[in-house]
Amino acid sequence: MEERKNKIDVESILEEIRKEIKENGYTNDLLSFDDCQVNMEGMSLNYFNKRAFYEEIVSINHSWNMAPDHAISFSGNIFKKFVTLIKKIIRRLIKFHIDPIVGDQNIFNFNMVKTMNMVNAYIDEKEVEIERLTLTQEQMTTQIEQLSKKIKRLEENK
Amino acid sequence: MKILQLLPTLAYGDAIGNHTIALRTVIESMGYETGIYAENIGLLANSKIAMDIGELPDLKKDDIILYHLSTGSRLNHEITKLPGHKIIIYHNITPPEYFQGYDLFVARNIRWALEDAKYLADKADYCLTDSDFNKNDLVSLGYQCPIDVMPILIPFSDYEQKPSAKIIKRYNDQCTNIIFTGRIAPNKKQEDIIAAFYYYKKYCDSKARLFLVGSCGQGNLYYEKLKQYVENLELDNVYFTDHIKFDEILAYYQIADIFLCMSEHEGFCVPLVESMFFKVPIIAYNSTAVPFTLGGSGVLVDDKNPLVIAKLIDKVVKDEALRQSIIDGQTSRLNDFTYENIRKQFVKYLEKYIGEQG
Repeated sequence: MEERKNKIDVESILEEIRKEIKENGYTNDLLSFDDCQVNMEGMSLNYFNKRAFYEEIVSINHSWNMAPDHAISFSGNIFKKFVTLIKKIIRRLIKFHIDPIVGDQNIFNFNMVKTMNMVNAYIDEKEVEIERLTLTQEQMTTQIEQLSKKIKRLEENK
Repeated sequence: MKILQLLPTLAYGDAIGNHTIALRTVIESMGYETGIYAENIGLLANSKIAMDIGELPDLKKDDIILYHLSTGSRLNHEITKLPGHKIIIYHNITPPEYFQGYDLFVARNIRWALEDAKYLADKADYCLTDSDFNKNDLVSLGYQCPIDVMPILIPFSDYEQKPSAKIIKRYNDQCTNIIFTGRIAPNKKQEDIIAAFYYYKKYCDSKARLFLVGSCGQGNLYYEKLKQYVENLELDNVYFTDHIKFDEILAYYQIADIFLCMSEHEGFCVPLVESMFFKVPIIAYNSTAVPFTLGGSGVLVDDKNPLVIAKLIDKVVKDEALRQSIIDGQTSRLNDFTYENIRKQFVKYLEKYIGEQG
């Protein structure tokens, strides 16, 4: 796929703009984003967001099973290779201790994720049920309104 | 011979998910048995588009696995144990530094993904990447197998759906609408867009609006900081849409006067192509895969000075000839991404690979 040359002379437009900014004495009074303090109150999770909940469910399903070790790449100069070798030896030495802990943690993670999946399924079921009940309620409200009108008419005609 | 696509998560509506589904149609049309298998299947769970990875059929030596690599996952290791050829479709991995201080989970997952990508370097038989930038990324990770560049396959017919009339009615007026599409994430640098918008309102058009279209995510610290920034700058008319329906996204493109992208890390950036489609002039910061996707079109800038960007927006909005010239360039570039062109590329690369295997 070939790249075409842009016909627009962006640099000369920018130069013109820089000149204009200088001439007009526009002030640069912008607050820094880095200095911005987050209002943590805005992060309180006191409302339910189904999509965000679902995203978290996908995320935990994706990451619950932790590996007891990570790949240690064997590259670089001699010193780096030596450090890697030491890391590999340490990993081998503590394997008997780490593996059962990670195993227990994974069982716990598995149960938690399974539970959260059940909660998710429960919410889905209830959403369908609420939708059905809302529809029934709307139909009944309409029926009641129609019946009320009918009664009113009948009473007026008495 | 089977050609199966595997990926950790098939999410509804994201670029990788759409690409995977589009490729499935092409593979089917080539006459191969195919399927999509994922560890996590997004909101498409009830459809028959994808299956759980546990249902993966037995594979033979001549079968092909197209593996979409973009995140850390157990699957990154497990695919190496499967028989068959491994073709990696690399969508890029955002550097973890961007998420440091905002989301440690994401930062950890990205580190994991980078380690996995290195691990797969000598196990991939062939790679396809969305951009030149992604190709260079794989080379720097130690990949020595053949690598070809194939942009994301986008079915443009999807964009011909009716946009949300509600959004168009509300915002299609004389005011300037600036948009950026993409999830709220630190690498996308939405704060730089807000900074430029601040000066645009101050010196050019006080009635302008800024729409940051994309998922905000609950408990997203970066999003909270952006909201605070908007408040500190006492800016009105900045809208965070969060996740919205597809017809609403289409409507925002319809009402947009400028697409402003200050992102510092993109593997391809589908919204640039979407802007080309909707004839919205693009102003974008020159980084990662952005120049590849623009391919000489749009306005690519090396300067992030918000005052300069604000005046540049003003120039593109007011100078009709310049605006038309940008749109013409973008329309010409759009031809390179037509469904038919990318489909042909994919078929060519796949047939070449199969042919070479004898």
